[in-house]
Amino acid sequence: MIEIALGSGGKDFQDFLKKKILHYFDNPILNQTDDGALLPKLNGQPVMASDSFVVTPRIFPGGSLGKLAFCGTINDLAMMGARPLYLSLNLIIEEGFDMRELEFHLKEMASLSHQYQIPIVTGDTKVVSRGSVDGLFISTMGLGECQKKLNTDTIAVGDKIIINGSVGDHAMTIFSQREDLGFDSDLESDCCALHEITLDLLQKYDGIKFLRDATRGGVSAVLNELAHQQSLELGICEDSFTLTPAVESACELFGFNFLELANEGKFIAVVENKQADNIVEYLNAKWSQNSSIIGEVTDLNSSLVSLKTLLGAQRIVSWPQGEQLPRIC
Amino acid sequence: MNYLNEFQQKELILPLLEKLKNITQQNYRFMEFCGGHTHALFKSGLIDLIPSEIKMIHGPGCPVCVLPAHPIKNCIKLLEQRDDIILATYADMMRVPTDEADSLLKARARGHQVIPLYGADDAIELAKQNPNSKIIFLAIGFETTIPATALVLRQAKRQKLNNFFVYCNHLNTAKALESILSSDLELDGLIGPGHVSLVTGSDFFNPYAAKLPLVISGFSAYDLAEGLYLLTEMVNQKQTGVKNQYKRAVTEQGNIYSQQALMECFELRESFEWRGLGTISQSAFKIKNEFENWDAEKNFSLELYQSHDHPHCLCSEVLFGQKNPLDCKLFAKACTPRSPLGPCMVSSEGACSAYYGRIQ
Repeated sequence: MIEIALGSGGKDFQDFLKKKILHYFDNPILNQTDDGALLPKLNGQPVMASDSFVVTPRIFPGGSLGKLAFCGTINDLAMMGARPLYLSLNLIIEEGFDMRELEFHLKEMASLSHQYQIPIVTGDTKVVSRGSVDGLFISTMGLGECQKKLNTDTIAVGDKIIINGSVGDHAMTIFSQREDLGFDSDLESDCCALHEITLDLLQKYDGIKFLRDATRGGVSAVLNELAHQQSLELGICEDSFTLTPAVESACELFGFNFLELANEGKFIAVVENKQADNIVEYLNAKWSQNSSIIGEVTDLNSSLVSLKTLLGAQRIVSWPQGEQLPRIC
Repeated sequence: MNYLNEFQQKELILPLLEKLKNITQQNYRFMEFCGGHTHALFKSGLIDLIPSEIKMIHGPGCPVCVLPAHPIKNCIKLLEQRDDIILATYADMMRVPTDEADSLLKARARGHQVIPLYGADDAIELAKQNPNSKIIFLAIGFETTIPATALVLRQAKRQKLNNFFVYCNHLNTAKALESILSSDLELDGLIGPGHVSLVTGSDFFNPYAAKLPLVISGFSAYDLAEGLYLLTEMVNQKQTGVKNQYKRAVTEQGNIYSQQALMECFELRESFEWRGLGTISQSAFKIKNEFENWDAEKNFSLELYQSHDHPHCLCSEVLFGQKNPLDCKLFAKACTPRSPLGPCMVSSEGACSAYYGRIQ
């Protein structure tokens, strides 16, 4: 059990640092245990990203808070065209939290850190009184070097919009676990690190103009952001998306819009028309199933996202409106 | 057959729409009573594909939309007066605005205990898990959700729960229909509600279809296209009466068990104030005396507050099919799904919310 003394910086913290943090994340920079991390010079332009993670439940099929905290920030760097190099790790722990569960999350992060050779080089631990936070919050910051600067100014009419797989898996996994809805399913979060895919694509194809991971607010939020920031009209087709049967059923049952569901391993790319088919083919062959072209840039100078429904009618894809609430009947 | 994709296939639906176009002989004014149908018409885009001669008037069958503000105000007031209350209600009630721009979602943000539910039985579980609190289940809906409330009332009585109460705001479809039929809407036909019919049975609608045709329809694009085809055909042939397109779910007699549960627990109120339709006698249900120990109105002070809608809000007219959401000055400007001023913008089944996805 975690006691408040751990966060006070005394002997308890030193023990925690040595036995847990340094034990799991062992690397030369972190092992200096200085106030910050002194890093080698970067080769490219530095890119920084940060994110905080507060998901409930903290452990779910396909992932965990720890895994999310690692992948989420890595993915933010990846979407900037960067190679992720270092992470920081901040823990905000509620007094009384189960040490074994904390170790579980640390292990999840450590295993990814070793797998991808992205060390955790600095961090902080705070313990707050009971009730101040819900169990455990994790915040990470990432530093990477830019491999390819994406230029949204070059987006042109006819450019294609691509997604790297099925949508809604993460949101529906969390929803089904959180609400104890009593439906059994094979739902699994798509939580994963995307940098290897994006770096590979950026090296192989020069026609990638925009990358964004479709997390909170889903595809709908990403496309509306892009359309409004860059003044673009984007048209997507309902029949080009893949939904697993479990996600499709849950959307029907609870009245969710699949375009607004959060993902943790999916990105939207805007790519040059001519390269789009090759990119999708390559993605499906090497990285992920169910990648597809979901639409295209239809006009410049207006900010709008439209959806061609299964029946062929046109409908506006509006910004996600707050928390998705199930319909009554 | 998974009942998901079969009824969305354009290979089936587009030919049906072509058939519908071919039998169109005049202008038609049809009302879909149910908010679920409104939602489906817009979600699938069917609304833009049906012949232009057919004008759909969006009816009042969205329980969130027609509930006046005062039950929500009552609940918030009670939460403010007592800290031992947990309010539980269907999730889409959370954002419904009161006339003071308050909502249950805002009350929750202020620290009051408001829990969104996915089913009525979750409220019973909540009562068992929180023996020191009093759980008030704000129950809303037409005959679709009434049986579920009846079952939890029975359960509360059987298990002698003393910390569980139902604040009954259930509505009576029959009276709403009567009110529409006696209005000057000049309807040519009605698309009858699918889920309500599942409980009541299709025969229930016979008295309301004496003067105009009524087709009970399912909720997929295919169901609605077929429902509209049948309705148009009936108008052309000057037929009245009820046809049931949703036979895979709706029987003539309905669900007898649910009807019995309803009769056992509820009786008609003298009158009820609907948002949009005004005060209609016997248009809502209250809890019978046998269940008064679990009736929130008998156990807490829930006086009626007068509520006033925003002066420019046209929801009343929209709910009655007299105005289109686009006629409203507030639409998509001051009133959006993110911060709704009127009830039709709150639920995705409300006409304004459905229109919002179409034009911004």
